Amino acid sequence: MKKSQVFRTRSDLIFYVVLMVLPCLQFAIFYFYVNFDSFALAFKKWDAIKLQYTWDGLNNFKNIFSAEEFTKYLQLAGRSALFGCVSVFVLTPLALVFSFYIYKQKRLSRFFSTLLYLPNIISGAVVSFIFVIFLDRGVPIIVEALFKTEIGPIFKGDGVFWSAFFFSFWFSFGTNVLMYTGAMKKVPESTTEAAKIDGVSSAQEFFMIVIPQIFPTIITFVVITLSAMFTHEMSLFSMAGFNVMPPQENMGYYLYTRTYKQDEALNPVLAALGMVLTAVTSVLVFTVRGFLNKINPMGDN
Amino acid sequence: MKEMKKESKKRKISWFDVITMLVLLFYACMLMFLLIWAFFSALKNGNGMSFDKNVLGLPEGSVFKWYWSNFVDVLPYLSQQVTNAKGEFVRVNFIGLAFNTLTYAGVNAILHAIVPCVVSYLMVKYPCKFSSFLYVLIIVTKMIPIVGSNVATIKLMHSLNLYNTRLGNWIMNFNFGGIYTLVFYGMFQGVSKELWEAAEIDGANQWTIMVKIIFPTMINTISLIAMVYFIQFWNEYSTAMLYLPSYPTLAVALFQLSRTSSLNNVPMKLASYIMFLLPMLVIFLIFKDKLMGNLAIGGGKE
Repeated sequence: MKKSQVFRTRSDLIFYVVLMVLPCLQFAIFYFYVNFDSFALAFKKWDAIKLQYTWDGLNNFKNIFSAEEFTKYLQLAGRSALFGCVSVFVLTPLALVFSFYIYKQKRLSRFFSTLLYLPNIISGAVVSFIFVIFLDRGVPIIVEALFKTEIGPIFKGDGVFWSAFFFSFWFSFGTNVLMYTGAMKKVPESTTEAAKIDGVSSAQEFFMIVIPQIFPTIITFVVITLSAMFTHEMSLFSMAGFNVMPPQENMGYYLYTRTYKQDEALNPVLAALGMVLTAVTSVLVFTVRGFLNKINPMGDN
Repeated sequence: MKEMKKESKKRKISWFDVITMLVLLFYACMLMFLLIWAFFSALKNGNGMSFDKNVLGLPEGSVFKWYWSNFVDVLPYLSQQVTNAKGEFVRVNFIGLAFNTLTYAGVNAILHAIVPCVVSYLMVKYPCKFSSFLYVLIIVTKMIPIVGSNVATIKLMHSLNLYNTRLGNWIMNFNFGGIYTLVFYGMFQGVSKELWEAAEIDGANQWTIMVKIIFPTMINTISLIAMVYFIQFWNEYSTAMLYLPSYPTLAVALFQLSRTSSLNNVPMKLASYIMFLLPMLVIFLIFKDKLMGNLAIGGGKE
């Protein structure tokens, strides 16, 4: 379409500009300026005398990669990465299998669809509050009744991290299942009908028809999971507030709690850490996306 | 004939189906059990060691002797002490919390539905170079994972004197970078061009065409997306705590209640959690089909 045909009259152009200007300005400020400022902050330090940020070169990055600090950040990232890997390699395949069950409208699939949708509606934070109470008060009683073994409070020490780990998967499982079910419903009926006529089994239909058809969706969700890997605090803050000990923290929790404290001296380090993680995540996301597109049974996405 | 029917029935129910169904059933039961347990536990006596003596059982006595008062008695414990713009300590009670929640969730939900709708409408109606650039920008920014930008955002809000203000929060949410911009984009592309042209021939101006002719065709989608975001903002507390510390929402109050030692009455705490979940459960029961259909257009929690 020729440029002159896009805006047929002057009032068309004014209409477009007037309505676009505020959203675009907001986007320019809250995305580009904020990220640029975050980038710049990574090279500054807080001057407690002048009460302003001053240029500090690469010192924040040197601090991050120093022996002691790097070990700490590596452990934080490692716990977050563990969550990401389990999400991709365990939760995703499981979700696909269960989605297929619901997609094929097998027994109780309507009931499961409704129940599995609940985590989209109710607050994960509030359910985590209830979960912690049940974990500490109810689970020991059940364990003692079933196994005649006394266990103390579960939600302490290492139990904090693993409880949050379990809860995050457990609570998000339903959403993942339904997302893939939604994608499977878009598989052309003619394809599945033809497969049925050819005598294809459920397993063959799953692996050879449905998975290839929804592979772009799988790629999207894997990429989204990996993108959020270092910002996902795994319900640690909901379940334990500021009381999570360093060996139990993950990167998302660390970033959120330190940001919340609004410590000017720490902000540049957080900005530098954010930059490093953005770079790592970007490389990871693009590599994984590229690899998955290469193995996409339906060709490159 | 009967044997063939039996055989086909047997084929339909495989061991794999049974295992899958049992696992899903176990998962569903776990979720339901937790919520039902929380509801009945909220009706127990939380004084002293009473709750610890009856953690898993039903509340004692008849239904009329259950501690229904927990739902009311917990309300004063929800109130939050905050610092207002003048630096004074003020107490925000349950009514204030509910008002903060409705303004936070309500306005942000409307913004998250309307702004992407308007921007995507303009991108489709006027497919100029800038519109194409915006489309690519939305996709690219969605692909690049940015970590740790909250620090810079808070710094910006302070410098604009918008930190800890409702207006500042609404400006932050006046954006179109989410996935629903692309959803609207796809939907507007499906709108017949004859509809536009007929309206223009009738002499309608661009504003009238957008608001009175095109948007009504999208009203179901707009209201569904607004509802999805309302639920999301109603439920979340971490962003509200970070950017609006002087305007605590109900979710923030519940988080503080979960951490406080000033209330040791577990049933009362559970009562507050159940009260908070109920409105969303009611919305879900009423709009179940529409909300679940949202997944087909790429919905779910972002």
